[in-house]
Amino acid sequence: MNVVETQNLEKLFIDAGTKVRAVDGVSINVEEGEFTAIVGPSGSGKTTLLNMIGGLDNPTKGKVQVDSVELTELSKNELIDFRLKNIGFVFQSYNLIPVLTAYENVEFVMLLQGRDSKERKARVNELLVAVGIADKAKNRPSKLSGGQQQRVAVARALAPKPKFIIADEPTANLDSKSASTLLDIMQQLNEKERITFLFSTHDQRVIDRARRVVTLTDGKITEDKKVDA
Amino acid sequence: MLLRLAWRNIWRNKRRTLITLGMIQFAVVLATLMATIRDGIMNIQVENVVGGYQGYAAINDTGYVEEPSIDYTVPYNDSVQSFLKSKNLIKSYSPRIIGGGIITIGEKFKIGRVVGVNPELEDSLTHFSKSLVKGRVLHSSGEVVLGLGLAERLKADIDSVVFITGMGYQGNTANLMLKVVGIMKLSNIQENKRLAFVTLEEAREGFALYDGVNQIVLGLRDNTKAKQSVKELKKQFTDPVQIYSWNELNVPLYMLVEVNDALNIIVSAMLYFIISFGLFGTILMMLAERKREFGMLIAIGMKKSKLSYITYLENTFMAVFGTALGFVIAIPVVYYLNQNPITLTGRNAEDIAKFGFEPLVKTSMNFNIFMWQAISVLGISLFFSLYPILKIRSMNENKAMKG
Ligand SMILES: Nc1ncnc2c1ncn2[C@@H]1O[C@H](COP(=O)(O)OP(=O)(O)O)[C@@H](O)[C@H]1O
Ligand SMILES: [Mg+2]
Repeated sequence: MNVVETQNLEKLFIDAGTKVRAVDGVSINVEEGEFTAIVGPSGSGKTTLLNMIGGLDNPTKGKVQVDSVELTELSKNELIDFRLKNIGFVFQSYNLIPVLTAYENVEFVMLLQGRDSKERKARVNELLVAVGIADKAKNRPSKLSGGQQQRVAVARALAPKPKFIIADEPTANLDSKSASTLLDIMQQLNEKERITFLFSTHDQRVIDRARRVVTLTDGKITEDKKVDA
Repeated sequence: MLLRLAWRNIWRNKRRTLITLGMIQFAVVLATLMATIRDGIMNIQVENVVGGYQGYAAINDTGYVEEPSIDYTVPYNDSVQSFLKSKNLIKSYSPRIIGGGIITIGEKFKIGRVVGVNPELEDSLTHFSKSLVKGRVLHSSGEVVLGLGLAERLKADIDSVVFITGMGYQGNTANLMLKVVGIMKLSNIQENKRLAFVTLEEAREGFALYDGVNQIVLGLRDNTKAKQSVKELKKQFTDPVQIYSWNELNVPLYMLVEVNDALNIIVSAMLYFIISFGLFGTILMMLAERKREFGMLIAIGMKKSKLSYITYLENTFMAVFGTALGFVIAIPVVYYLNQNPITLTGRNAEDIAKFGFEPLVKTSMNFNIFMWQAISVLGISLFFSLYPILKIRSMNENKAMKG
């Protein structure tokens, strides 16, 4: 089953008079359980594509369906609600709420969804163990390393078991050891929970972990290959 | 959860929060103190003038307001007296015949006012026996009690003989010869220098006013509600236009009170304008600092309304807490100055006294002042809390996250 389907997706930016076609006719399907990397050099349109799939940006043309819902037909507020209920996000930085502890950050989206406290507690503890932060549950983000913060962000994205998780260059600010640990954790959770991951990167070591690699060049898909484990 | 988040956000930048709280607190203390001191000084003035001799309400002819002449009279008969006695709003009353004249002792003289009163009724209204500095109250005709200022001017003492020549009712001449039995200090500095009290009968004879009186001064159950009480009494009195409240009888003083109130509002508004800038600065800093975080929160699915609510809670809390802190300091100080007024001395005090003001710094414990301070601060914070809400409404989460 396809979690994401796009058709001829296009994004045109007009910046100081010059037009930039950041995403240029992308049609891509993402199946449930995939662990897919969108790769390409800086400026190739990775972020723009992921933003449109994640409902953070409107396409200029084309369609995006998430779980059979057409995102272009939703209003801004409906999109916010849709994201809350269906999509997990891991950003490159500034993922966490600085005044909340690691535990509370992981719990946050579930709280917004109105999940009951028993369920939240079990899930948050399970994930804090899974990402190796259990002993730092009470720490605020400023007391965590960059790698630890990204692991908390992954746990937060996973907590409500979303349809899929979008991670835009999640390792860009990490040293290689932390990046590798984060990828290990993402991979394990992808296998264990069958939650779909869609992440972008231009780091070859990260690309090597993906099971499907989609290459973008100047906003177009130039390669799409499955890697067998 | 939202509350917890708001609470922690308030303390994430402790220094900024403390500065903001301090600013609000300072403004509240200053504004409250200034307002209560101004109000207090005005109250002393009103109490001295109105609460002393003038009275908070009176019955007199409409013409008497413009021109306090002995020719303007009102009836003081059984039906009027039974009206005065039957009304619960009226605590006491005193009929007065008031004539002008030249008051002479030996070679010294001064133009003054002769007030004919019923000693018991007058005492129940103005407690003037308590103001005696020498001698006793009036017992019978032929006696006079002088204001201290007048007595000093005339070098009068007990048993001095006083001649009064003046204009009586409808052009009659008035000639009175009296003996000083008492000297009293009136709280109204002006009246203290010109009043001479005699019995009602003495004044009737002397000024040839055989029917009615010039004024019936009313003591009200609640002087602070003089205007409403008078309004109520007008409905019940046979000649409603003849009942006046103090502000109608003493327009200049009432205008002074009104100007003072207006000044209070202006000064407070200026202070609040200053804290407004402080608050707004804090809010701008907060928005700049948290723009990325707000973008992220909207991106992961937090409704803008919820986010707005958090910022609203934060700002309102600071305003309310700052105001409360202000009151924690202001109320004891105001209370202390209310109980222990400071008497000014030296040159300044003399200058103040020249204007007829008592040189006394006393605050008023006026609940309305406290309430208005609280309402103003809340109003301002509500107003400024709208700014982040508008910002969040128009926020694009993508752009915000890029910083
Ligand atoms: N908000 C924007 N306004 C104008 N141009 C933009 C905007 N966002 C991205 N672009 C342009 O679109 C292209 C793709 O950008 P992006 O999707 O960020 O690429 P990547 O994530 O692969 O580095 C770039 O040329 C970039 O300059
Ligand atoms: Mg990018």
